[in-house]
Amino acid sequence: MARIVVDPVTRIEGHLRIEAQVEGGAIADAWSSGTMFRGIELILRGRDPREAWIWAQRICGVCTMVHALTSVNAVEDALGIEVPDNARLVRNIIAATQTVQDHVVHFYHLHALDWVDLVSALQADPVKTSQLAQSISDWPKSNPKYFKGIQERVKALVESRQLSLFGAGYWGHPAYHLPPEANLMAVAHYIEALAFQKDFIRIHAVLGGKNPHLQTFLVGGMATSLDPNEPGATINPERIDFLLQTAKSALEFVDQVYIPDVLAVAGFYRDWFGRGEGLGNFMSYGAYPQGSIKNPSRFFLQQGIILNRDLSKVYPLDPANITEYVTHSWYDYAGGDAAAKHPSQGETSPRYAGPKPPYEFLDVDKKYSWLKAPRYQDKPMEVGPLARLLVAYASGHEEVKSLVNGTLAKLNAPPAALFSTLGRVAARALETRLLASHLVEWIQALSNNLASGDLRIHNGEKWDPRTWPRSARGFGFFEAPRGSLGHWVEIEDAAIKNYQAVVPSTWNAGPRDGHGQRGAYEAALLKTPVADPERPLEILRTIHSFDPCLACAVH
Amino acid sequence: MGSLDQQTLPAALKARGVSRRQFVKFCSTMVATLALPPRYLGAVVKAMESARRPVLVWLEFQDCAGNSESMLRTSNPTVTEFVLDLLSWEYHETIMAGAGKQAEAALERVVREHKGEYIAVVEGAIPTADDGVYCTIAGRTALEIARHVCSSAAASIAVGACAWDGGLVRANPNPTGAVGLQEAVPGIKVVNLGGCPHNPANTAAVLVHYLTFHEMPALDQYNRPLFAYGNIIHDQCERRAHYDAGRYVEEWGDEGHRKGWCLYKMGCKGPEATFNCPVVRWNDGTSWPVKSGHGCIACASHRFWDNKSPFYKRLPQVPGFGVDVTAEKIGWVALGAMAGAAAAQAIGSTIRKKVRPPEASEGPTKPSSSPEA
Amino acid sequence: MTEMHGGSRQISGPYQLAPGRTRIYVWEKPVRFAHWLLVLSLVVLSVTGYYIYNPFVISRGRAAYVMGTARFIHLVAAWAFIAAILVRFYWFFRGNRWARINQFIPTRRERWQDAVETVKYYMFRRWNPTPRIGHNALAGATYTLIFGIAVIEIITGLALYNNVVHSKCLGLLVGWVPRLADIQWLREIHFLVMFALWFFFIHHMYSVLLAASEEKNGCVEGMVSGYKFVTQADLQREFGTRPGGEKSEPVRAVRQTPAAGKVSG
Ligand code: HEM
Ligand code: HEM
Ligand code: NFV
Ligand code: SF4
Ligand code: SF4
Ligand code: F3S
Ligand SMILES: [Mg+2]
Repeated sequence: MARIVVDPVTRIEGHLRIEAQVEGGAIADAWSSGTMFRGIELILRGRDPREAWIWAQRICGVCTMVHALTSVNAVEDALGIEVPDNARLVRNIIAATQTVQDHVVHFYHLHALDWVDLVSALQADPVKTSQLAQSISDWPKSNPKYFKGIQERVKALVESRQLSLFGAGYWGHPAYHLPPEANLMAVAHYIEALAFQKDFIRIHAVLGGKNPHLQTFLVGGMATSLDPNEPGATINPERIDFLLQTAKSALEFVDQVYIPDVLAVAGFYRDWFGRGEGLGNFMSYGAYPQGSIKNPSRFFLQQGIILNRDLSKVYPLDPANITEYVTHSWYDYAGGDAAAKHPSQGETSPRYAGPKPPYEFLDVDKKYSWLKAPRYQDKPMEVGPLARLLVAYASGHEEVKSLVNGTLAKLNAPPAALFSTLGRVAARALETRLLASHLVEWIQALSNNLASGDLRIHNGEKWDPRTWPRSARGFGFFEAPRGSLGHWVEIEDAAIKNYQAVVPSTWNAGPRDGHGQRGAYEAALLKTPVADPERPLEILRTIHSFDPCLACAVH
Repeated sequence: MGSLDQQTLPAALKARGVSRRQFVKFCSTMVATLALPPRYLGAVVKAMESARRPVLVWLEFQDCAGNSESMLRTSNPTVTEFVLDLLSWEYHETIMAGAGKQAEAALERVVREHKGEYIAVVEGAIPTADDGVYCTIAGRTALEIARHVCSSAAASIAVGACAWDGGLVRANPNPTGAVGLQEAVPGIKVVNLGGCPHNPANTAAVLVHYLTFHEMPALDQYNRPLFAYGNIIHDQCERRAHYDAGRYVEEWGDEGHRKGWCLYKMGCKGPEATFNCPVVRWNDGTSWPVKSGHGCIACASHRFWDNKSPFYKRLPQVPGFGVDVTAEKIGWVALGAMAGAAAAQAIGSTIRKKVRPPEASEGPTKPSSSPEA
Repeated sequence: MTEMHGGSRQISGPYQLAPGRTRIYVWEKPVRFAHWLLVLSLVVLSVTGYYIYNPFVISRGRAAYVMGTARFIHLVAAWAFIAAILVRFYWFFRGNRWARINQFIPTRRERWQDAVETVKYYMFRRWNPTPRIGHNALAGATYTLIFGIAVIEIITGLALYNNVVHSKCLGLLVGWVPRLADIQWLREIHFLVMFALWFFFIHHMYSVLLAASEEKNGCVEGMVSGYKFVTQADLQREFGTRPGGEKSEPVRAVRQTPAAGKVSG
């Protein structure tokens, strides 16, 4: 029947296009396409592997630093470098900060307006709003005056007839179910979260000079010198204090604003626990080393694979099983497009074969995206906070189990509810809680090292390229906010010979593979009801629940 | 033209409890960032008081959204103030409520109804190879959109290296034929805010300058505002005393590094970079790369990816030699070769002297005569 | 003809020349001044320049100012270097026949031939160097190259300096340079040219010493005193039948000595 096109999909990073076939008020088939390509893998060739992270980091400015970390992991793997414990801790702190910040921004600024009707907030009673807010948390700001102020601000905006960023929203759409008071509370927290994220991310500024695009990673460690007695050191007791205070305030915000808001919103949209399920295959590379990076079994978040929603079994992960197809992607492979390639043999040879712009529809039977299609043992995988939480849950991670079970109990929902659009939203919030609390712990561990006189931050044995073998290959991996991230590097004569990144959003947003299997977005959209094809709010809900990042996905 | 009958800024600010004192303080921060003499404070306050939310659209092309994210991290003013009070921010893919058709319609409406009045901010490079197929939005190429939107704007602002000069995307071998805005759409008025990403403190100041004086601040030869790009990092750096004294970090994490010594020997490009990082810093003045212990990579310099890399070496790679061959190595090898040649010549000359026939010892009288003659 | 201007000093003092040699005033004061100022400033510029590139001395004291001093000295020496080059360039047009610009750029066929013959000499295809009073054509061409390189060093150096001082005046002079090549490439050129100068230095040292030993013309001392020791044949070739040339302008600096013995001075 009707072909719906959403292009641009907004409130994401990058240029994503969704085409969907709607039959009988629901989606019968869907295609996900990335419409921008830069060629960073090609640009990296011939450059100094020690600075690859500076370049690779620019794959994305939203999940900034995850590509930097994965890049140094890859080069360290190739050269056999172990980093000092302090470097491991600083990396964990930076990464957890990133994930916490990214998740908060995603929920409030990228996703909330799919559930929250801004205009309906004008009808709210500030007193009742304050009662609602106080009933779900003790956030000190929740008084009527505060909500009244917010409401007046929104009112001024609407009356100005220039709604700024909010002008083209689907206000009044029948799929919005929140009462006006909940809408007003959410709008207030939207503004609150804007202030929170910029204050919280100063952790990155202290450790990395700036955010986005921190400037502090090093092959072999970090550039954050530590010294208990030097004001000129990046990390000293005064900075530790700042980091701790900031991390603790994040924990407060997550506990008192983010989690209660997610639970409140979810309560009004229970049918979305049964929609947007998708593939049922989940993968996590594991992240946050507790000791050596060579020992993933001791990572804070476990590594593993879950197939067909079967939480009773976690399969071990073997990176050798990862491949990428370009059968439906605008690339050529030497030797033909039908077979997949392992990233260590990966190729990036762009060849656009889509319709000539300006165009109306893509040729979805052929090649239709700049994303490659990654597969594990030839199977498509969903990656991201939900996959991580499920793998940890099924692996018996005590903290995760109690968090997940507690939340499911509060929502009065079975574990199967997690395989859904709202399941992703909830998993993201729970992960934020988990990481915010461990952030505090890692900062404390760093502080203990500082006090005990362990000031090592960089392993310089292999800094000089003359100490390197003539050629070497490495694999770096990490669990970025959006999921499993891998960089494969091949070094020859102290220069990068080949560089391949397989990125979380490539897994999730990728097109069909050589067998015609759908990617995670495409699968998750199936059967989604669409009330008004002109205003496909439901598509946004499910797609946004993955937190798409297309700059990452294509690079 | 457009509906410009909105509420003024002070009214909007008052509505949400911002005092006049706070408002004036904000204005004076802007005056300071712009490096204007304090006497301009009155003009800024007055202009901001009567400012009528001009329309702004933010376009993203071959970008990483780092500049959008950076914008979200500003406090003076916050993005909330920009979006709700100062400007009417009508289009910005990363954060706008509308999507698809509705989003595109919003952009189209601005171009139509506010022709010649709105500000177009561009983030990301623009691919020109293969008819621009490397970046399309709603089926149209970035190149087409940039031409359409920016040529009707009152002014365009290119934020970040990519939008200015092609940035990372344009780095060798530039697989997509990427260029910056002013090259993609020649002839339009562009202010370039280099950096990777741009520093929102500067961008905010440019916008405030525009709101106050209805024109862009003074620009350099790259169309970058002088107040932000006029001085060398090195001359403003807090580690400069160590540089002059000769105290350098020699290994990451060594004593010098812990004491905050100069990062020159670790490849810091501060001496060849201009930007105001050491003064305005990042993330509400929290820090900047050198303060946090890593050298500057000159991210606000022209085509810095190719020009200022390798980032851990003092000088660039000599083209045509491998990455492990430095200019110094080439120099010493050449000197060795010359010394070798001289030594060989010396030996040869000694032998020649020994075997030279006596009749040749006076030499020829004419330059053309030779010993054989 | 000004071209015959060969200096005006009468020689006094107990000089002893090699048999059959004539003492002749070749290198005038400005040439020698420029030469030795060049040598001195180049040594200073090289040491300080290399230090700027690679600060090999790490100071620890509170009051140290090593890099600041190195840069200061580099700049002072740079002005000396520039002064030397300017003096020498001026003397291209004011100096005697051996100092003139045509001695550097081989425009005439005869000079070209001389250069070719000198190459042959270096390649052991000749027994003897070509006889000359000033420098041979190949040496002249090499000096031209070195003057050119010095100019590049000055331009890049001034551009680097202007990158720091942003002076309007300098801007007029070298403001165009950073538009041609990024400041980082200017540094690279500035640095590589230093090696080119050292390269020349080795070559120059060798060929000067070789000439001194082969030609016995006292050329090293000549750069100090101004005088070289030449044969009758040299004079004849350069000035025609008698010193002073066919226009019979006296070369007053030339004095013949019958005496044999060691050269001193
Ligand atoms: C024989 C002549 C010269 C030599 C061998 C020489 C050598 C050098 C070297 C090796 C450097 C360090 C380059 C680097 O790694 O950054 C340098 C820097 C510099 N030179 Fe020269 N140089 C010479 C002449 C000049 C002249 C004529 C000037 C004119 C002003 C000049 C001005 C500079 C400046 C401004 C710097 C940069 C200093 C800084 O970054 O603080 N140099 N020179
Ligand atoms: C690196 C430093 C040096 C430079 C750049 C340099 C440059 C020059 C130049 C440009 C000339 C041509 C003279 C003119 O017409 O102006 C020259 C000639 C000469 N230089 Fe140097 N010189 C250097 C070092 C020396 C030293 C250390 C000595 C002494 C041992 C020396 C001895 C001579 C002599 C003897 C001549 C005359 C050679 C001839 O007749 O062709 N030079 N030099
Ligand atoms: N997908 C993705 Fe990223 C994340 N998280 C990358 O690794 O967002 Ni830009
Ligand atoms: S300039 Fe830097 S931060 Fe901005 S889009 Fe380009 S890569 Fe991203
Ligand atoms: S750290 Fe960099 S910018 Fe600062 S003084 Fe040293 S070289 Fe200059
Ligand atoms: S890298 Fe960029 S952020 Fe500033 S310190 Fe250097 S210009
Ligand atoms: Mg890839």
